[in-house]
Amino acid sequence: MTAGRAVDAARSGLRSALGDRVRSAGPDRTEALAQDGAALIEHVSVQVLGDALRVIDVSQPPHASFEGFLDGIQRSTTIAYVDGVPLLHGTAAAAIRARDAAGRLTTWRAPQIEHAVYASRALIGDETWAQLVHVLDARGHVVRDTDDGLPVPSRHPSALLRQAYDALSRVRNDMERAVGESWCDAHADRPLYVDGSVRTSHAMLRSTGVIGVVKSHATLYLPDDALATVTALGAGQRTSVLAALDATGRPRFFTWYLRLRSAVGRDPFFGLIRVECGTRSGDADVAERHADRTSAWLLAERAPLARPDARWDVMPYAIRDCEVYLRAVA
Amino acid sequence: MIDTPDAEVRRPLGRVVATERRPNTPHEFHFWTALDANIGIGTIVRVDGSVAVNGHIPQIFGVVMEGQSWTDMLSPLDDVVGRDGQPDGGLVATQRTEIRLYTASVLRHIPDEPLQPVPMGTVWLADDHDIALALRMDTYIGRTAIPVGLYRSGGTESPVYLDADFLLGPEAAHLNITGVSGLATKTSAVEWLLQSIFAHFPADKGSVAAVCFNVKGPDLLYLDQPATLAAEDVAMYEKLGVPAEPFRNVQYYAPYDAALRGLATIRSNEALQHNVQPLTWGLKEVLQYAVTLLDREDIDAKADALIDFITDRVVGQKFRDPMLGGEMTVQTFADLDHWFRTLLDELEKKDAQTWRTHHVATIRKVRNRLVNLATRCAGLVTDGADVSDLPFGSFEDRSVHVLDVANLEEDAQGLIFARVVSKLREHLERRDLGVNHIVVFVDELNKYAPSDGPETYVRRMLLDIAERGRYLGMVLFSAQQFRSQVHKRVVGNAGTALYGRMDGDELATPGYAVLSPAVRTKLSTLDKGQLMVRHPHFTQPVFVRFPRPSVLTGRLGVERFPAVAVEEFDAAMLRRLRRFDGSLTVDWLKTVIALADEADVIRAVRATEREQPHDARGYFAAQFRRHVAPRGLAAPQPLVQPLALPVGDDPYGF
Repeated sequence: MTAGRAVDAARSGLRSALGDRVRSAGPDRTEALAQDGAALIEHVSVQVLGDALRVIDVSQPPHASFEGFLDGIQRSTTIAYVDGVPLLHGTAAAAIRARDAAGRLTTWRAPQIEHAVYASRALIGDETWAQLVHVLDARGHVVRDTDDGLPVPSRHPSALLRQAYDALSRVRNDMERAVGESWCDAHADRPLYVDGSVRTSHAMLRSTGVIGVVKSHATLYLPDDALATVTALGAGQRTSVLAALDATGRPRFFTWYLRLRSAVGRDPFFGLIRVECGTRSGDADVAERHADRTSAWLLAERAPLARPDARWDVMPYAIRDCEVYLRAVA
Repeated sequence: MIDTPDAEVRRPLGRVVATERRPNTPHEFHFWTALDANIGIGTIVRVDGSVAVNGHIPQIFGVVMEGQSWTDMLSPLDDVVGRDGQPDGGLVATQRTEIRLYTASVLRHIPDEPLQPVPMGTVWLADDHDIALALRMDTYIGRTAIPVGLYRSGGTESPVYLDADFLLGPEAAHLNITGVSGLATKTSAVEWLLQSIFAHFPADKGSVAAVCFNVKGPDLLYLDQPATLAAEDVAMYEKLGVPAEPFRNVQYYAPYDAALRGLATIRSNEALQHNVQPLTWGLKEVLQYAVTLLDREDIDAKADALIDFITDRVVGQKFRDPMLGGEMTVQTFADLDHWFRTLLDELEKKDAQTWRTHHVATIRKVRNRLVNLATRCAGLVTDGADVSDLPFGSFEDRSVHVLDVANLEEDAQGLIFARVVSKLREHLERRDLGVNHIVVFVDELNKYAPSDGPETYVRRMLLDIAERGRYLGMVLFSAQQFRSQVHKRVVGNAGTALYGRMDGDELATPGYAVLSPAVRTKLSTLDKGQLMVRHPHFTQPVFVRFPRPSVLTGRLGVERFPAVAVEEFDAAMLRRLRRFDGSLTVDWLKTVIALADEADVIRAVRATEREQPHDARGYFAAQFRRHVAPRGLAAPQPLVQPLALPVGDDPYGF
C-alpha cells in the first residue's frame, strides 16, 4: 500500500468512528506552525470580559466600511560575506491602499520604501564599515547595524543572518507603524485595516477606527482551556472580547477571534483571524458592540477572494492588492 | 495649415508595456491606460520615447486596433466562491485590480530611420497636429487635401483629408465603398465626398465633373434640392470647410418609358423638370455598342462581320449597291429595316444565297437582332433620328450628370453604361470632354462586376476604367454590399476604400483577415455616418465621421416631390410641352393633334424637346402642318377590277 492510500484509509476509518470531530488535514497553516522551529507557541496573559469566553454570532450584516488597508513587505538577499560576516540586502516597504466609494483602490500618500544593507558592525570593524557606508550611500542604500547596540550572540553565519532578518523585520514594522500613525494623524478615526498587530502603536490603539488583524496563531491570546472554543467557531462566529494585559495586569488592548469562513473539512485555523483594537472606552458592553460592528466589516471583506495567495482564507483582497502594489514598486 | 499644438498641459493616456511573450515591434505596440481613459478601437495615439536615438527623441504614432482587459482573478471559480454562488448576491467590497491593455498598429515613426521597435514611453491622445503627422497628411494639407470626414476620439475632433493626387489621379485613383444596404451610408458617403471634391479640388489640377448612374431607388434624384441639416452636421461642414448646400449644377437624364408617354424616372414632378432631359439614342449611337445587347453565343463571327460592315459602310452614309437598286441612306432603325427588307427581297427574287460573302441566313439573323433592338430598348432607342444625349464635349466644371437607369431592363442599363463610358473615354483621350477629370459613380458593383459569372461587356468596361482610367482622368467611384463578391481587379485598383457597417458573413471572408477581431467587430456595429477609410497615405485604416449630405434624401424627395401618376396620353404630352410654355392648355393640344396618331404626336413632342424652341407652341403645331401639305391626288381606282389579268394570249388567263 502506498503512503497516500494508507492516509486515505486511516482518515476514512477515523471519520466513520469519530464523525464530525474529524477534519481533513494536510499541508496547512497548523502544520506549518508546527514545522517552523522559530515560531514558538506562547500564551499571553489575557482577561476574559464577562463571565467566560463565549461564542457569539456576528449579528450585524456584513458591511464594507474600511477606507484604508495597511500592509508591509520585506525582501532580502545575501549579497556577500566580508571576512565571513554576511551582508544582507533588505528591502522594506509599507503603504496604505485607500478604497473609494466605488471599491477602487489607490495608494494613500507615497509608500515608504527603504533599501538597506544589514551587517554586524562589531564583526566587520569600523574601517570596513566606513568603506561600506561610503560605497553604498553613493548608490542610495542605507547601511544598518544588525547589532542594535547589543552584544553579538554568535559568529555563526546563520545566526548572524537570522539577526539581520530580525533587523529587517523591525524596520518593516517601524515603517508600518509610521504609515499607520500618519493615517491616524490625518484621518483620526476613519476605519483602517492593518495587516498584523497594532499593539506596539499607541496612536493606532487610541484610534477607534484602526484595527489590527493577525492571521497567524503562533501566539495564543487565550487560556489553554479555551482553545477548543476557538477552533470550534463556525463561519461568522466570534469569541467574546478578551483584554490583553500588560506587565502590570492592566488592559492594554482588546482582542477577539473571528471565523471568516467555514472550516468544515479544513484545519482548525482555516479562516480564523484574531482582531486587535484599542481599549479607549474600557467598558465591556461598548467593546462587545465595537467587536460586533467591526466583525461585520471584516466579514464583508471575504469577497473578492485573495487568491492566488495561499492565505486567501484569512486575507482580504485589499491587503493582497497592497502587497502586489508594494512588490511592484519596491 | 496644420495647427500647432497648444501649450495646454495634458495628462498622459497610458504607458507602453512589453513583455517577452508580448513584445513590441516596429509595427505594433502595447500600452495600458486608466479604466476611465477615453479611448477605443480606432483611437490615434502618440508615444513619446524616453531615450534619444541619433539625437532625436523618437515619436511613434499608432492607431488602436485591439483591446483586452483582465483582472488578477486566478479562476472564474474564485468569483463564484466570493459571491457565494449567487450572481446578484454576495457583497464585494473591493473591485479587483483590472487592466485595460491596448494594442496599436504603428502609423508612423518620427524620425523614419532607423526603424526600431516602439520604445517604452508615455502614451498621449493625439491632437490635430499629431493626427496630421500620423496620417502623413502634412505632405499635402494646403495643396491637394480633400476632406473625407472628422476623426473623433477622446475629445479630439480633427479633419481627415484624402490626397487628391491619390483619389482622382494621377498617382493613384478610384474609390470603392462597401457596406450593408439600408443604412444609406454608401450613397450618402459618395454624395458627401463629391461635395467635398467640388469644394476643395485645387484649381491648378484642372476641372472635374461627375457622372452618376442611378441604378436603384431615388437616392441620387434630388442632388439639387437642399436638406434640413442638424446643427451637428452644419458644424461638421464648417469644420471641414465644405459649403452645406446642394449641388449647383446637376443635370438628369432618363429614357422614355415603354409607352413613350414620359420619362422613366421618379423625378417626374413638374417642379423639377427644368434640368431633366430625355436620354434617347438613334441607330448611329446604338449600333456601335449593339454588342452589349446581343447574346454572344447567338452572334457568331459571321454575324459579327456583317454588323461591322453595316456599322462602317452603311449607316450614316450614302450606300450604293446593285442589289438595292441604287443609293440608300440609312439614318434610323426604320431606314435600316427598309434597307434589310429591300436587300432580302432582291436576294429572294434572284434566288441568291449570298450577298457580298454574307449568307442570306446570316443577313436574316442580323436583321432580326438589330431591328429588334428598338423594341427591346423602347424609350431609349428611337426609331427615328431624334437623339438626346449627354453634353459630351461641353461638360462644365463641378457639374453632376445623373443617368436614371433604375427603371430599365438590365440590357438597356448595360447599353447606356457602355456607351456613356466609352464616349467619356473617347473625349478624355482627345482632351475635349470639357473637364479634365470625370468621376463615374456606379452602385451595385456586385451586379455589374461580379467576381464570378459570365464575362460581360459592362464588367470589361469597369475593369478598363479601374486599370487604365486614372491616366485619362476617368475615376471610378464604386459601391457594393459585398466587396468580396466584386472582381478583385476592380476593387484592387481602388486607391481609396471606404467601409460602412459590414455584414458579419462578409467580414468572415478572407479579404478581411488583415483586420483585427476588434476592428471587425467595430465595422459590424458602425453607426450611420461612420466610415473606415483606407488610403495610400494611411498605413492603417482610420475611422471617421462624415456629415449628412446637404441634399435631399431619396425618401424625402419622393415625399416632397411626388412623381406624377400614370396619365392619359393627352395629359402626358401636355405636361412635357408645358416645360417650354406654361400657357399651353389641353384644349389647344387636342385641337392641334386631332388628326394625328399617337406616334406622330410623340415624334412632335420629342422634336420640340430636342430643339427647345423659343416658341414651343408654334414649333409643335408646325410638326403637324407638314403632314397636311398639299399632295397630288392619286389616280382614281376602278370600282370593279378584273379577277386576273390575261397572261399572254391565253384566253382563259390562267
